[in-house]
This record gives sequence, C-alpha cells and structure tokens, in this order.
Amino acid sequence: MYLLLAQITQDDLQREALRLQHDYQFLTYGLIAAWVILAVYVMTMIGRQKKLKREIESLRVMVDEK
Amino acid sequence: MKSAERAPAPKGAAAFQILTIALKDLRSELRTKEAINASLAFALVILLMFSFAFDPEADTTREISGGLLWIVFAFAGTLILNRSFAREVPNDCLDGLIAAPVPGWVLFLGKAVANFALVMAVELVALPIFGIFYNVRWAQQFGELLGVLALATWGMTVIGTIFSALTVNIRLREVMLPMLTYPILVPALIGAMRLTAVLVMGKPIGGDDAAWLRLLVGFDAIYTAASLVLVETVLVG
Amino acid sequence: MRDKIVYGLGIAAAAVLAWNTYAIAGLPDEVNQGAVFKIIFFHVPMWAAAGVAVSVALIASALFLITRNFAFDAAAVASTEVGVCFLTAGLATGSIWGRQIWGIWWTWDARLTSALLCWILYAGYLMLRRAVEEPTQRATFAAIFNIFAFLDVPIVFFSIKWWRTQHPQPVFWGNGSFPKDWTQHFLYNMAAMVALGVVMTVVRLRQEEVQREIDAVRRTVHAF
Repeated sequence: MYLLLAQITQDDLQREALRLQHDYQFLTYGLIAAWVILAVYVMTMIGRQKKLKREIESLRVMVDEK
Repeated sequence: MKSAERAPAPKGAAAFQILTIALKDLRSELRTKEAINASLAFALVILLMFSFAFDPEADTTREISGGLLWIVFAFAGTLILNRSFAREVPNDCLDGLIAAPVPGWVLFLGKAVANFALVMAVELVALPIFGIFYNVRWAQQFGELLGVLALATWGMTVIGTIFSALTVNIRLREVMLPMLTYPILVPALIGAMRLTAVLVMGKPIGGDDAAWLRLLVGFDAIYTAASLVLVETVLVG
Repeated sequence: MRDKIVYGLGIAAAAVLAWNTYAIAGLPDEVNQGAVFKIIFFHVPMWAAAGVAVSVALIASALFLITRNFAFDAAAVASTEVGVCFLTAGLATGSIWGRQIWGIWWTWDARLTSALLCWILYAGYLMLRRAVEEPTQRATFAAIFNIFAFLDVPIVFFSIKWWRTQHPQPVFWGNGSFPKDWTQHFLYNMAAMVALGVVMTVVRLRQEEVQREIDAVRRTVHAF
C-alpha cells in the first residue's frame, strides 16, 4: 500500500482538488437554481397579490361613485 | 311529467348505431376526399423531404424507419383527426348530433372507428411508398407490423378524436389541438417508433421492447376507457 | 386568521429547510459521487412535492367534473401551477447534477423524457386555461385535460424500473442503497418541501378565490 501512496504525484492531488472544487461548485449552482425558481414563483404570487389589491381599490372607488 | 316510456333498445343496437355513425363519416369523407387527399399528399411530401434531408445506407435507414414513419403518420393522421368534429360545425350539424338519441360514447366510437379506418388507409399507402423511396424491405414481419400499426393508430385516433371534440369551440383551435394532442401521444408514439424499427429490421420483439408493447396496450386501454367516460361531458358541457 | 396560520407554516418550512441545509453540509461526502450527491436532498423532495401537487390536481379535477363545484376548479389550477413550479426546479437540479456526474446536461432516456413530457403537459394545461374564455367551459375542458395528462406521472415514476436508463436506479425503494444515517435529514427535507408546496397552493388558491370575487363584483357593478 505504501508503494501506491508513493506513486501519488502532484498531478493526482491537483486533479482531486479540482474535482472536489467542481463538485461543490455544481452543488451550489444546483441549489441556487432550485431556490431561484421557487423565489421567482413566490414573487409572481406577491405581484399578483398587489394587482388584486389594486383591483379591489378601483372597484371600491367605482362603487362609491355610484 | 315523466318522459315517454321507451321499449328497451334491442341488444346490438349500440353496435348498429356505432356502425351507422362510422359509415356516415366515411361516406361523407370519401365523397369529398378533402382530408384524405390532404393527408396522403402531406405524408408523401414529408417522406420526400426526409429522403432529401438524409442519405443513409440501408442499415441506418432500417434503424430510423420507426421514427421516420411515425412522424409521417402522426402529422398526416392529425390532418384527418382535426376534421373529425370540425366538419360538424357548419350548419349546426354538431348540435344535431348531440341532440340525437344516441349515447355520447356511441357517437364517439362511431367517429373513432371511421377515423381509424381513414388513418390506417393512409398508413398502408405510405408504407409501400416508403419502401420504394428508401429502398427498404419492410414487409418481413408484416403480421406483427400490422398489429403494432393498429395498436398505435387506435391510440392516436382515440386521443385525436376526443381532443377534436374538446377544441372544436375554443379560441386558437388550430394551435391548441396539436399542442395538446402530441404531448399526450408521446409515450404511444415512442413505443410505436421503437417497435416499428425493430420489426422493419427483421428482429423479434423481446426484452426492453416487450415493455413498450405492454405500454402501448395499456395506453390504448386506459385512454379508450377514459374517453368513453368523459366524451359526454366534453360534448354537452 | 387562516392566512396567519398559512404564512406561519410557510416560514416554519423555510426555517426547517435552512437548518437542514446547514446540517447536510456537515455530512460526509458520498463515496461514489462526491459532494454533488447532496443535491439529492433537494432534487428528490422537489419531485415528490411536484408529484403530490399533480395528484391533488387530478383529484380536484375529477371532483369538479362530478360535483360541478368551482372551488375544485380553483384548487386544480392552484395545485397545477405549484406543480409546474416544482417540476421546473426538479428538472433544473437534475440537469445540473447530471452535468457534473455524467458530463451532459440532458439525455433522452425514459425517465428524463417522461419527466420533460410531464412538464410540457402541465404547462399545456395552463395554456389551455388561457385559451378558453367562458368560465364553465374552461373549467370543464381543463379538468378533462388534467385527467388525461396524469397518465404520464406513473410512467415517470416507474420508468427507472421498467427500462434501463441513464438516470440512476432507485435509491430509496426496490433494493436501494441510500446511506441509512442520512435518512433522517432526507425526511426532514421531504416534509418541509411538501409543506412549502401546500403553503404555496393555499396562497395561490386564496388569490384565485379573490380574483373570482372581484370578477363577480365587477360584473355586478357594470350591470347597474
């Protein structure tokens, strides 16, 4: 086994480190993507809520005028 | 006021009604030959254009035969299926059909059977032409091929007919019908493409492909049952 | 009062997810795939939430056709919208995961194809609703399409059992090999994601109800 360890070169270590870095990078991208999509949906709902409030206000004005 | 009592319909009345409606549709279509001519011409044009697009050797052609044929059949078949209920809209024919004393599912089956016959006819004409243009011997396992064709065409017909009824009155009908039908048909189309390619290549159906065959049968059974139940709601609202 | 409960549940679910993410970051890397395997903690719960959402939509659509009560129609559209949101997120997480593990963003195996198809079908449902103006007709047709569209869902779920796929074989069911001590965190995420889905559906449902009330009042106001 020590023979194997002795055969590890600088390249191997660098490659491993790079792979780990890529792993975490993609994990982060994945999680960001998921949360961004959910956040976009929640924000459209908030926008719709505001639009509904505006409609109610305009209706109230209309009713008051009558 | 109780509705007038009617003597119970004789056995086989439903089959007779389905046949009548199917024959009516076939007769009206064969007199004008609008849809079937358009469908056949479209099938030929697509086959022609694909033969210009790719120039594969014999083995590759056999491998892609399933995909190619079913794209042709799906697009050409849709032309016929679209017309199915759209034909009834002028002169309030649709209202007349709905008011007729036949159950909704009988009307649906009658139209579906007529459509099935028309689409199968187009497919069976397109197949030899495919064989000639692409230089492919496709008829080695003709019995099995016919079976696969029938199964997949029935699935396509059922979905196309019920969505034709669904979209007959809505805005942007021409756009919505393909948008709704093709995604639903994809499992059946993929199965049909795989199985057709396997059969044209001369291999037996086994292993993975048997799963697709089961899927095709299940697809047909489930969607036929669902359509029979729901067509009344679609037509009457 | 109901609104306060719903928002409270939403914040609770988000808190659980945040805490769980921190805990998951502390878990050791998985043997074969490295750190990126931890996307499974979000990828699978999102698909599960999507599955729950479309199942609820199916039941609501069927109930609408049977009872003709428009509350079910509102439930169907709310549930399907939330379902499409989770489907999108699920596809995105899966694609990013695949890019790291397989080197490709996409492939056309049975699982991914049927999943994309699911997305297209339910997006088509939302498009269909826009194409029909009259409320009763819209609700009826949408309900029927929803029922037809649902057949793809079992295909998506069982595709990795029925066919050999690029997508990994089952890890949780059918002789799966999910690390046992991770199960607890996974279940927390699962529950939190489904709870989040429920909260979003309820909020969307409330908005749909308010919209219908506004339309009704508007019709009355214009009538006089």
